[in-house]
Amino acid sequence: MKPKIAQKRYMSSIIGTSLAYVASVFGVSFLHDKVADGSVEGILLALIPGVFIALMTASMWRFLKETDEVARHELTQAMMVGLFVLLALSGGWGLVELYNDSLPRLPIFFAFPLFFLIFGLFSAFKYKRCV
Amino acid sequence: MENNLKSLRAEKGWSQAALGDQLDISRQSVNAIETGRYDPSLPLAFKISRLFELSIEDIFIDGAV
Repeated sequence: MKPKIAQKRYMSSIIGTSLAYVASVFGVSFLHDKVADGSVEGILLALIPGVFIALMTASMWRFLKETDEVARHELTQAMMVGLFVLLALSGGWGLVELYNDSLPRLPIFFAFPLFFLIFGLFSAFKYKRCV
Repeated sequence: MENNLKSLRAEKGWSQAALGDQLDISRQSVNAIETGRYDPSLPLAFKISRLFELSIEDIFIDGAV
């Protein structure tokens, strides 16, 4: 596949699934109070954003296979940076939480948005250097 | 690794996009190779050398002593 087409397909699918993810998080937050805590409906409802996370990662995986080696290298680098920063922050803050009962617990939900934020910022920085 | 890709491309009168089309890579990828920010794999280096009808050593300069 031509890199231009792969890039176009990746951008449209990642933007679409990202928007759907954000909408589903807001939707689930809005509907959460309307279902019983711990019910099957409540759990299934909370799992909906996870579907879009899976679709986003599938888009990235497809792009990695379809694009040229330079873009693959840049994307892999951005993913590694996102992953390492997330691991360092969660590992570091995790110990702070573990030894300090008075501190608030950071919900694990934030792991994915944080990863994508770092990944996105690094990708934008790398892209700016390429144009 | 340094290379002569930019001057070779200029000799042919090709844009980065035109070279990218012939190599099946994006314009940004051509730019990354030309500026030395990315060293191409062996298959891509062979593809480039075939396109310019030169040896890999004529295009890419190995700085290792």
